[in-house]
Amino acid sequence: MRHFACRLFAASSIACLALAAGAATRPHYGGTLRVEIQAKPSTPDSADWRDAGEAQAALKLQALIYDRLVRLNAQGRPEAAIALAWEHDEQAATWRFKLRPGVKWQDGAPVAPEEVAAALKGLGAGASVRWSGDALEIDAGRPSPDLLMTLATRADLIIRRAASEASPTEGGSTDALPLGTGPFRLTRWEPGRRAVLQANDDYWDGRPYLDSIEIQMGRSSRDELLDLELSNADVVELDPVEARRAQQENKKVWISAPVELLCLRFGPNRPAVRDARVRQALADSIDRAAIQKVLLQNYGEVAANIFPQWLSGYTFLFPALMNLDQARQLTAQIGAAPALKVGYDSGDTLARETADRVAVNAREVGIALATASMAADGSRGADRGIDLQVHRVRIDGPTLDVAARQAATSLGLPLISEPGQPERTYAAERQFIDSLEIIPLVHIPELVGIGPRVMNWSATPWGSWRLERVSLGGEKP
Amino acid sequence: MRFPIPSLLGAPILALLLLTSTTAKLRTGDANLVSRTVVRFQLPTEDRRLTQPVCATTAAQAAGSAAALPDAASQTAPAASAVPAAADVWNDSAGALAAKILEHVTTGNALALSVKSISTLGDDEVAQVRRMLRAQLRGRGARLTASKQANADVQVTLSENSEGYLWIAEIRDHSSSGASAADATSAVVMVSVARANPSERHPDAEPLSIRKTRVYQQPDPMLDVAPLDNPSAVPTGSPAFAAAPARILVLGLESVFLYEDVDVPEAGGKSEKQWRFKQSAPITRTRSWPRDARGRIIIRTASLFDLYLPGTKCAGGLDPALSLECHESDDPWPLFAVMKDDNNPRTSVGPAAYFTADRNYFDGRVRLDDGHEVTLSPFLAIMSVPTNAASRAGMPVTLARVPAGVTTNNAGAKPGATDASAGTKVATADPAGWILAGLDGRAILLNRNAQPVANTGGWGSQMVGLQSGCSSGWQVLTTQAGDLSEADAVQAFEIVERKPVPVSPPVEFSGPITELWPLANGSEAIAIARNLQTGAYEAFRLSVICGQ
Repeated sequence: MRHFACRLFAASSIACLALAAGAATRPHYGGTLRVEIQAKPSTPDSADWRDAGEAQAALKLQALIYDRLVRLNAQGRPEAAIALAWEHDEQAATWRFKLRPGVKWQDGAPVAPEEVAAALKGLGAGASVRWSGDALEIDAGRPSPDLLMTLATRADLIIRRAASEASPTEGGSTDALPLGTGPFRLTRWEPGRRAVLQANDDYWDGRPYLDSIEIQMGRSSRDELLDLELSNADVVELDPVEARRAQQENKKVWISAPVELLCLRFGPNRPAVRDARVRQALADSIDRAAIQKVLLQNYGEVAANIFPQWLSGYTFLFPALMNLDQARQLTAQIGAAPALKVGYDSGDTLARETADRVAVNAREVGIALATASMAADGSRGADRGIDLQVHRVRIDGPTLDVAARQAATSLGLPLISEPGQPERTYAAERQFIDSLEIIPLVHIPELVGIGPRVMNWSATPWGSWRLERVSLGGEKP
Repeated sequence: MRFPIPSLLGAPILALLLLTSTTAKLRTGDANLVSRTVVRFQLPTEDRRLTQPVCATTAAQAAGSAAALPDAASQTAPAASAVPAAADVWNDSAGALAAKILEHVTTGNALALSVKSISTLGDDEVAQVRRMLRAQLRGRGARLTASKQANADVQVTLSENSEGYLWIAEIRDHSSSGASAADATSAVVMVSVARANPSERHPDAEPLSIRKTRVYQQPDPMLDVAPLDNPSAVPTGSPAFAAAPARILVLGLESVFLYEDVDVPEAGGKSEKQWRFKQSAPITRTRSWPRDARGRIIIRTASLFDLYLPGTKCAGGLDPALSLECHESDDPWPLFAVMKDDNNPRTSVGPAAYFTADRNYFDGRVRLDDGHEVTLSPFLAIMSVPTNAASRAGMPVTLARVPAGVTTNNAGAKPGATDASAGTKVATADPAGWILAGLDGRAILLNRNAQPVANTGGWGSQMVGLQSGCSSGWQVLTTQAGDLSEADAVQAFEIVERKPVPVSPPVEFSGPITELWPLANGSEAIAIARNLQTGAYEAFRLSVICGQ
């Protein structure tokens, strides 16, 4: 039951009582949201990122600045955005979209249909886009029943680039920065350091409550927590240790669904791990529960497959069992104790700690496993004799079909030819896991510290921040 | 002319919901799942409108038929059985799963079946699914028995993912030699099942001083709900009144909908009340909605109503069919749901306030009953302090002569008050004062000259004043301070000597209250809340009852 404090009116005075300013239920307009992130994206509007962290940060920025033809609602289903309505032919190969009237670029110029058509360049080989009046026609070249999901998640953003710049590299004149139709306009871009976004008063879905957002990049989790504690930041990304500390300090921490897979990935053509018994012994030796409880501070879930339960619904079919006896039997069969090397991203503390822990587990069953740091992109791994590496891959769907495509790209899971068939996805995943191409370890959520000023924090379960819905309240004492 | 917007569901889900080719509108989901200190992910809920037609685009494609969008006219007249009930969907799904299971059982028809759930289905629902599955298996010739006598063990797990339910069967077919389960081969089959619609309306009488009765709920946002269960054109004692079905108008973001209360027969001779979709009319707007959109239904007569929206006003009719005509307007919004007599154009409609077209608040200008305007600070909600509560509230009462020919019907007046004859000195229908919810989160008490006399914090931004037969006869119902990610509560207060005094325990809701509007009778209010668990929008009737 919510506690209600009865406050007295002043008898004949209009002076406000010295009370905690109760925030009204309705959101307030105004204010600047201060956000800190760990990644250092070099550009917000292209796909040329150095690592997964930078990619995720850039995707979050893109969602604030740009629109797509359709977008996903909180249930992960496509809904109208720049396109207001659509229909398709019998084969779902040709789609017609009615464009939303009155959409403007962030400089106030109306968006022309030909500009939308020109933005949709990356729909794949054989696809073509035509426009006529306020309608857009996409010929996918083949049956595409899931085109809406593609348009909502992977298709090109609706961007208008300045004539003089292909992509932002320096924050100088606002004129040089690309324009979108989204809720916030990018007004300052300092690559890898800072970004400032201003509310788009003409946004077609309603002006955001916030006046602006300031984003500091490249901050460590420890510094972010400190800023949150000192009220120097409103929204910060946290690693598990800092998130646990924040919760212990009664700070608000938002936890997404598990959206990242931490796994071990074997290097191709490495003789030492070609024997399936070595891989199996290693898989049987790993104490996943300890990784989840200790390294992840009890966030996330132990994983023995690619897709977390919220995406697949069948994760329970992959029990994560540690079997030291079987592991020892396998290593005994192999004979000479294999000596392996596991690599980890030198800039990733969790990856390093995971590698250390896996090495300890492996030694218990007779596998000598040394650890070695490597570049974030895994380059030079083979040069340094790395047989397997700790790998973090984003699997956030928000549907199983989209997640399967993500896994196909990032892990090599064979693509499912018929989407919408969880049984087939399961079968493909089962085969892939049984082949021991990877050893899943844990599914990791996003952890976000939220300051007391932030009202109506809004994010999808798979980690998309909806900052256009956020408002700021008064500081609590 | 509005363009219909279809929804596109996953193919397996839609395959189970193959319907006539009609359209549905998509809505923006609003899954704000933050708790005070620890925020955890919750599974999203199905985003479907109660009784709204479902776009059969994908199903039509699977069936090999053309899937062109229907025109707007057909969109307003969906089939009455557009959305199958959960039981029908589950039975079909149980049948599909039973068929798949039996495809993998080759050594005989004796099965040992066990069913467990790791989904959000309730115990009753799990039992229902279990019964259906057993019936479907038996209907296909299977014999359900204990594991020792079975040819196969079937473990069914009722699970779910982000898209809906997923029913999974693990089949261990014993070898033909009758070896143990350890020697059996296994197969896994799955069936995707759409999540059921939110449950139909059911009365919800709370034994509290605030009576809260659920009127209606739907997955999509609602701005206002206006019950039409007492059409004033029909005398209450007449047979026509008794026979007239209850109806409600539901104001959404893009349309207004008319629902009719019907009895749906059930097994055993019983019947269940349900809201049946009757008609809808689209709202035409030239401007985009501001964030935190608000809107109001004002019933003018038994067959006419107005919609007040930011920057837009619509005139609507109910007879012979639902009709709506909208235009840009900055007309002030009536503060009371007053019934105006169309035969007497001089009937007062009560005070009205001007709403900011691109924001979520009133700009502070209030037009009084006599046409005079006062300017207050911008506010989120406002109510008048009626004359019958003025003295207890510590507010002076002004006497005035009633002008000839003018009747007043103000929600601040006691029900059943008779009109005064011209020339009589009576307490004016003008309020004795105002209470407004300021943008700064404080509630301010103003005298009748709009001068602040007191203020308080800790209240939410929704409030209404209701007449009751209890205590002073007039109470303020208000929400609590917080944000839209938290569950809300409504509590009743009385203003005593300019101080708010709680007179009821809080009545809890399953999520934030997004709107609180008074009904025309002055003794009830409509509260619209968003259920944080299901994501559905729920409308409740609130009234103050004496005693606990």
